[in-house]
Amino acid sequence: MMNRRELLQAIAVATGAAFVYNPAYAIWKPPAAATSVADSGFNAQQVALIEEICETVIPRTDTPGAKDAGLPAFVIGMIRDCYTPTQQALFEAGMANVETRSQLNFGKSFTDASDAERNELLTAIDSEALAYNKGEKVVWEGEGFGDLPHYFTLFKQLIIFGFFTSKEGGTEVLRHVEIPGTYKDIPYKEGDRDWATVWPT
Amino acid sequence: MANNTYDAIVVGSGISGGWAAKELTEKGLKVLMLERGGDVQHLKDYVNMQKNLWDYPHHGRPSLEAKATEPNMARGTGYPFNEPTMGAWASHQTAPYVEKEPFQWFRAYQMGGRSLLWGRQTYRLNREDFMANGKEGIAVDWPIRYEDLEKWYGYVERFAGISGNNDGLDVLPDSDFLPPMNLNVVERDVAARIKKQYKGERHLIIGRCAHATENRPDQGRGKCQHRDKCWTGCPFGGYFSTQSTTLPAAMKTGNLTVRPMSIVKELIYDKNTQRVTGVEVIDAETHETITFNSKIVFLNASTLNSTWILMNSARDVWDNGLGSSSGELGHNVMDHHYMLGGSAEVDGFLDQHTYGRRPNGFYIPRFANWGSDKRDFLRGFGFQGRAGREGFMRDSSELGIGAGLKASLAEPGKWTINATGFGEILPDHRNKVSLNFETRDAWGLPVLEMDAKIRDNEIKMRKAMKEDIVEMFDSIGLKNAKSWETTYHMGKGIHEMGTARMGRDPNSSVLNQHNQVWDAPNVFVTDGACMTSASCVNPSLTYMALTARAAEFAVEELKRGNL
Repeated sequence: MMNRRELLQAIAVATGAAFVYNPAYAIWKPPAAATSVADSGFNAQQVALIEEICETVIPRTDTPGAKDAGLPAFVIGMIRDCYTPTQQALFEAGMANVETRSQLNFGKSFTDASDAERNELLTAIDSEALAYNKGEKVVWEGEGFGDLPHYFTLFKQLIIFGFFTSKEGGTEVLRHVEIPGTYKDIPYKEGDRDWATVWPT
Repeated sequence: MANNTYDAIVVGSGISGGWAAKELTEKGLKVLMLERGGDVQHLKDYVNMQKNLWDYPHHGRPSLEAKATEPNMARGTGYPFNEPTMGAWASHQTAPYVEKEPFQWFRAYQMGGRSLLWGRQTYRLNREDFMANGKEGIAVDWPIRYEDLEKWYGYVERFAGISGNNDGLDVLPDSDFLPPMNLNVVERDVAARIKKQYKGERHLIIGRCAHATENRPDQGRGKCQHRDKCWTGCPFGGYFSTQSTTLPAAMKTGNLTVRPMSIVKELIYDKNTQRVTGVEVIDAETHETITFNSKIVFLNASTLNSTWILMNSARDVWDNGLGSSSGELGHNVMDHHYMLGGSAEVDGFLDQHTYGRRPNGFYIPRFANWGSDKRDFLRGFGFQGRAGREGFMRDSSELGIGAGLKASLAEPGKWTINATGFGEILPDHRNKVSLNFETRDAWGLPVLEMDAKIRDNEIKMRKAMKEDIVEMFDSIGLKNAKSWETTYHMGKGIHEMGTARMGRDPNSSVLNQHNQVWDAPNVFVTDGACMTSASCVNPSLTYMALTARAAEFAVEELKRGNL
């Protein structure tokens, strides 16, 4: 993989040009920063809950997990900046529901539950989400959220997007080549990693 | 230059403006190129070109606030509005327009215009495209034929650098190509199956695109590195843009002056000579009005803005502006209708994957109303698409959570194929733009009002496009073939055309066969505004060829003393 310095060298070779950035002239503007965790309105307990939900969905294995990749800060910024008020309300209702069910099932907060307990609960809720989205009656009634899917679908899709488009997810779990040079067929065997993407999906 | 006088003024610095500047300066004219937006220097101003999704606050997705600021662009789905290209599109805040019918207008108000942000697909129109209006009695006949443009296509292709394969198809004439990019193993298989199933009457070919697939040291351009970050500017100059290709050539002549932040308010028309003597410009920063004089003017401000300039000029002579004597200025708005297509799954090939990010796809050229194929609508459509293995955003609802989910999504999924249709829109007098004086932009200028929509022929065609792609995928044995469609309205194709069409008769067209305004022959319009019909292929290559052709004619006419 090529680092920034090597990229600059490659460009200089290809174009014969040396250059520096002058952001004053930029038309491509740096987008506004994401809402920070501190400004998000989530309290410490909620932030800890989001963190553990993220890590349970995408745990650290022999490669980085959600926490290593900077979630939940990303998830929190996305929720506050890119989701509608109704979606945000669903997200928060879902967080409360996870917490309630942890208390019911294990007699303790989700953040105090063991990895195995967290996995057990979210696995059950993941199955429930699948059933709910097919129109089956499940524990979560989704009252007040109209046509929105089960809250866990929102959690899962956002966590997956955030993780696999993070640097850790994109380069250490997926593969990334900054300057591929060409496009061609290659042999594939099970276990070979997929490629990172460069456009938002 | 002394007293602001030049041989030629080129209004706009995008694809066609860059070509006009290059051709006119190389022929020895002193040229002033006016750009309404700010300067963008090649390489050094491409601030996002090395970023990855993780470098953007929302990994590339636009925030609700960004969407709310630019409601016109953020509507519906579509590639252009995201964090990597944020700021590169003109803002509704300073440059509004009025929609009598829904219209999405993607404008790039900066040096290079949309040449930095285009899709880079490049196809020649075919012989029929230039004759269909005349044969079918639609609108007016083109005043030129394929043969008139053929050598100019070759001329611009050799300089711009067009990658593609010599496919030998009448429906899609070959360009003068650089080496083609590669179809992948599944695309080649699907191509072979289509050829067999349709007995050589339908084709899947590699897309033709304005990418250098060989180094071009003479132009200071490196070959395309398949990074697929083109819309942030290319560090190698791998794709054609004003900055990478035409501007350096024009600058080299020593004959070019570029003035950014220069909004052309109107052309200055002299009733006595029936010629334009120059342009009046508003400085975008100081709001000061400045006059520049020239012997000829090339309008390359982008389709609707070139027409806006004509409409806002010589209103004391014609109520609807310069070029309106035919009653056709502003009329016959066209685009390519799309936002629909088909997808399918491809069994097998699980021991195959691809390497690299190809900034191009496959193309299925028009087959409807071609040869023995007859339909209940006029004209046709093509499909652009790609086959690939599903990525991490595939349906994960049954993949569970935890280490298993992570491991599954770290690997590619099954092969799928997607194709998006692009259909021809007929020129229709009822589809129009006009000046709206009630709404003003940040410089106090009237804005455009859009009143254009797709009609019966396009609606019939859209039905066929969806049916045809599903039928093709089914008939060659692909699985779960289905069609999709989301909202299309005019402009969304970002292929605006028409509104100052070429023709044979000053009573029914705005421009003659050399792109001269009938009412002022020293004004040439060579961007998309000049199109008499739309074909179904991406139009920019045709603007390049028309511009080079008109530039040569203009210089000869100057020498002959006719302008």
